[in-house]
Amino acid sequence: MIIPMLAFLFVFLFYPFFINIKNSFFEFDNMLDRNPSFIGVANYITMLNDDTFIRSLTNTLILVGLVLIFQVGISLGLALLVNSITKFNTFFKVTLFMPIVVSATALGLMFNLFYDYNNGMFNQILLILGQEKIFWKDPQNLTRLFAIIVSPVIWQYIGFYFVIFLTGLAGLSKQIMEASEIDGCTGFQKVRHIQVPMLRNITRTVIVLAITGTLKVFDLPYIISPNGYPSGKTHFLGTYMYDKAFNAVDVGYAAGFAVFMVLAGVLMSLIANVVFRHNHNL
Amino acid sequence: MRNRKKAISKGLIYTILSIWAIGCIYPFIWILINSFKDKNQIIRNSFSLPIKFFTLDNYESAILGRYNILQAYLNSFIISFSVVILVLIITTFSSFALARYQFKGKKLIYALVIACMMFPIFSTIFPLYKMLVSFKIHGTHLGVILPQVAGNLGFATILLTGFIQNIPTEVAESAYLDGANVFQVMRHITVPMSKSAYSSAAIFVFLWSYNDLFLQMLILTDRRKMPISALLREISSKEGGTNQGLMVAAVALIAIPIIIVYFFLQKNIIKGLTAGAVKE
Repeated sequence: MIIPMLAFLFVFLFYPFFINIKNSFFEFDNMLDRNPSFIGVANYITMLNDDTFIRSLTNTLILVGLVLIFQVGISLGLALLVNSITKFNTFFKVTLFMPIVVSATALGLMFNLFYDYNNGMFNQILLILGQEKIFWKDPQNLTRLFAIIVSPVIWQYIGFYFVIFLTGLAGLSKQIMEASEIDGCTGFQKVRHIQVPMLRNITRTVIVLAITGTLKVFDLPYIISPNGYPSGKTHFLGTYMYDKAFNAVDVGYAAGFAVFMVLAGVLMSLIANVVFRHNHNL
Repeated sequence: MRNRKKAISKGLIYTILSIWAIGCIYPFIWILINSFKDKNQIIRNSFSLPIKFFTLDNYESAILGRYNILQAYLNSFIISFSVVILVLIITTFSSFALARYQFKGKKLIYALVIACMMFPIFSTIFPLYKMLVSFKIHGTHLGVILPQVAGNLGFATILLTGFIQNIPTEVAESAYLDGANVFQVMRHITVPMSKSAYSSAAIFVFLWSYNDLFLQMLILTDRRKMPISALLREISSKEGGTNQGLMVAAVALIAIPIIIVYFFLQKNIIKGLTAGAVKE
């Protein structure tokens, strides 16, 4: 019964990945080269000397950091807030989750409209407030450019983790909450000493999902800042990989890239798992 | 005193949440409003309601223009429905086996299923593309469907396995005693009892398939075969800079139907997400 699934996974996932592992040790003259030459780890060495690769890796790691701080942090905060109120809970749940169902492509196009210098929504707001217009996509100002690319990425998935946290909070024992209230716990103490520690296992799930999700980021940066505009400086691992896959015919190099991405994902998830070790007492 | 403090903090909580909620809804309202305005009006004042200058021109040029958006919708549905159906059929069997049978290598298989959620599509794309070429299905819908099925199996299997494990086994056992075979038990007991898990798996797989851009863009190069996301990107890269009206209408055309469907199905979506993620 399990064979159809395994067959699919092997043919379309594991097999191509193993081919990639193999390819990463070879040099290809062109895409259809039938006799690639073995070059050992040379592709990996090239990778470490490739400025754009290092750039895209740094950008991705910075994004992972921002995601862990803001996405996970804000979603936990919002979940605690919604959990503490009694009215309109469903309304907030439904609206906060909404951006997730819209495709990142549409969101990217939408934010492009917002960032537009002449007629964008953000600049219109600035004008109404009596401020100067801002050239959002100024290639000179890389920090701002980076910020406007990653903000929608972070914003979109907050609702996702928010709902997971909220379910976790709903599952916490009511007795402990009531006991803490009788003992005179203030709302903030309750959050800090009881709710957050008890969410440990869920936090771990969220962090692993957030890390693996961030490594896969593609659509939004690709649309807001095509080809790592300007000159590859805003590439992420996913967009640079796409660039390599299309514009460069270096099959071996791209394969090494792919292997690296999976290793990075597995490694980071393992670290998260060790830091937030599963606690069976919760 | 205490009550007053409580009331203030309640008010503060509602204010923060409302601001965030507006931040989630307003962008889409802005899109909807402006999609009915003449493109010059968007430039001048994008916050006004489209009363004086109400127009359907943007939609007209989006639907009847050089790009056939209706055809793209059809393509999207062909692809995404096929993916959903295949994923559900395959995971019905795999999750039943994982949840109900003890067999050698079960742990390993479960680990593989979880591992495959870690494989971004980028990590397989080159060999995959070559494979599709040798199967002669690159550039076809099938060439997108099959890899998408593989990419979604892990999630769906984990969600359904977790759900089936929580169904009490008594009913199935008494059915076996009455002489039912495995397939009858699956068809008449397990599957009907897991309806809610099925619907959420279906919805999520559909969304991910419908919203995917990378694979669709790489595999489908013929404009007539493109699903909606890929076509929209094409439109934006060709004329997005100049025609804001067209862009707004295009975004509305892709986002608004999904949002409407979302409001109808939100209960299943949110319930399913939590069933899958919180379990483990």
